Amino acid sequence: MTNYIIRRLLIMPLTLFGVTALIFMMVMFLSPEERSALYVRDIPKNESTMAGIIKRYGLDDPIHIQYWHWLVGREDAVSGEIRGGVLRGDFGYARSSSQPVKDLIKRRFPATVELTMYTVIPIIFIGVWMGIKAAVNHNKPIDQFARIFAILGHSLPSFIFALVALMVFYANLGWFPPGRLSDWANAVVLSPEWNSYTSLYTIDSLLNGRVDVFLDALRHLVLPVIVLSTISWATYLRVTRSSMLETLRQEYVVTARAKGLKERDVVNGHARPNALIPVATLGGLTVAGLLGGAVITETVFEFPGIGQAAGQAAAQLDVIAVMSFTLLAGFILIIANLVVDVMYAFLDPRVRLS
Amino acid sequence: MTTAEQTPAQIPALGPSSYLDSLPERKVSWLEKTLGPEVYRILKGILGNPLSITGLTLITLIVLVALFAPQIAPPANKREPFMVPRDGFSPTPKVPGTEWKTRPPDEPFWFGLFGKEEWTHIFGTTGGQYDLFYGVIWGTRTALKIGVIAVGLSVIIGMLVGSLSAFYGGWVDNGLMRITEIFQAFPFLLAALTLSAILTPVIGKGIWPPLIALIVFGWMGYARIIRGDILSVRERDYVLAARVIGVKDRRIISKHIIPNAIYPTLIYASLDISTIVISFAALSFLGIGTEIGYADWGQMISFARNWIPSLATYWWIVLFPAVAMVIFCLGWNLLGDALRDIMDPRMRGRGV
Repeated sequence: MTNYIIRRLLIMPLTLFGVTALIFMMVMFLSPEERSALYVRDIPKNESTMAGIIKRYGLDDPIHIQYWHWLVGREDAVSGEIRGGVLRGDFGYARSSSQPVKDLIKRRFPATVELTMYTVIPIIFIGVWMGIKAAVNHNKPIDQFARIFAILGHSLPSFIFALVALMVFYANLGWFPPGRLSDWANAVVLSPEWNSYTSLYTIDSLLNGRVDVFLDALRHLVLPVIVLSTISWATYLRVTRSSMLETLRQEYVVTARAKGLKERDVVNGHARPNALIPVATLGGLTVAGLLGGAVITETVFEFPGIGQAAGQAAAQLDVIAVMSFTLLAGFILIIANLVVDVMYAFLDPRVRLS
Repeated sequence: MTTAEQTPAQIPALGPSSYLDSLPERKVSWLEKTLGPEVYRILKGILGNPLSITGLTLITLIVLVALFAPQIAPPANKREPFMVPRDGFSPTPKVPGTEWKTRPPDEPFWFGLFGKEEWTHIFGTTGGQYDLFYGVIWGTRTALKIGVIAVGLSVIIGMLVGSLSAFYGGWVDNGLMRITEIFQAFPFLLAALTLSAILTPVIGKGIWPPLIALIVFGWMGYARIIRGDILSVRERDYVLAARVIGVKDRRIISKHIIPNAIYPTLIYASLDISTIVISFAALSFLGIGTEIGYADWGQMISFARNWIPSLATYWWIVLFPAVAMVIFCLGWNLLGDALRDIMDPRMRGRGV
């Protein structure tokens, strides 16, 4: 197994190279003026400043040199400090909101983390529960019902579902408003008495002893969580169901039944742990996907996470910013894939022992 | 087949041919003869399940609407039929049934059948007075067009990469598969968002920037499926048998490998049309892609974004495009789910 993990770790730099190279190739489509956003905040005013910037930041260097500087940063000939370098976390400037992309990410990331935290639990637990119920009752009404439910959830494009949810629960009933906090709660959060421990409002509010803020934050999370989980259940249901059906056909399940175990013990004790191995993989990828930003859902609910930021930047054709979000999401996915593969090796003896 | 449990000893010792003769002959209908066993089995599976019949009906409906869009909603400007006609510029949406204030487009033939005189906004208008009925009907055409082009081109690229990979093997295979993985390392929507933001200034607003982006980040799945299928079909016994009796390579490829490796992929691919259409609509909903006023569902729905607090009043700006998209996706997914079960070799002969 050590071999397997080492091999897996050795592939990492290769993937990282490929991913960054692909993004950089897309960046090279841009004009030098747009590319200058990697190093300077404002659009150069005239041609002579532009020429100066091109020279100063080497925007006309050969492509491999530019790629290297984009990756690890570049010493500024004038000030002597190192600028740029996506591996250092310096993605350049988001001109659509006139700030460094790094600051934008720092400000928006907590909201996405909070949303992910509250979404993962219902997605995985309810999805898996439905999948197992469907498999155990193969071709019975429960199975058919679960499948129709999954198809329906899968057929609802997220933005339509989100808009309809807002129409019913916000415009008509006024229960769950869009955004992350109400105005009064926002004022509390921004006031000097507020201690920000984690930037996750549901946790900070409890640490600050403000239950009203906690409830308000929770109220704003309800709809996005429902939308994100409904559109993901289909996948979990399908994977769990087919994996469980496969497992229930295995000989050790027959053996367990033959020695007279109760059906519940056969399912919960023998079949389920093995059937859930593929689900573990899926879970890791779901978390990574959500952390990378749920662009559509966050946009419709005006939830200020990195997904919404990416959508806004794209709509204003702020390529450097969108690209940074894509790269960040790509990094998160690569790490998640690594974690999932290693986890897989621990969970599945067939991989572990080979 | 009741002979599965029989041991060879129980088989009459008259030689294999007379044993086969003793079995009752399976009746083969003329339909099965003309369509071939595989297509016949798929068709039987689809028509034998109420869910997939519903799916098939919905898809037929969608295709008909797309085909007859000019008859259902005659364009105001024949040269640019995809531009939704506007009725003034007022920012407030108008209720379904409001009459046209400015010169209306031609009245469709079917409207007269209901005994109505004046051509109205039967689905209402959006903010900015775009006619929703027109947008939804011609949006169907846009959706099908996008879906077919995007999936078609992705499959072609995927097929090229996948078969090159499978046929050459070795370092070609290794290299191509690594490249495929790199394209898959990004979240699909974010990657497509980036590429369309890059392409939009270069080729201008329209359906092409998001379409190209969806293709560039959409072919990898097909490449992997086709590579895997070719590799596994190549090792099947019937290919080996064909080789043993001296069939030429070209004939093996065209008669045995391609039908068994590629047709399944084509069926899976056609089912991806709904995913592509949703992704395209999502991009257009975010404001990337088509110019304002172009008949596509994502854009029609994005008009509702300005009215979220008052959607209780202006329900129609969400409802009609939403129903159109849900019908589209539901039809495709219902059919797809049934097909996946029918095509799954493990489920064969279990009376789907």
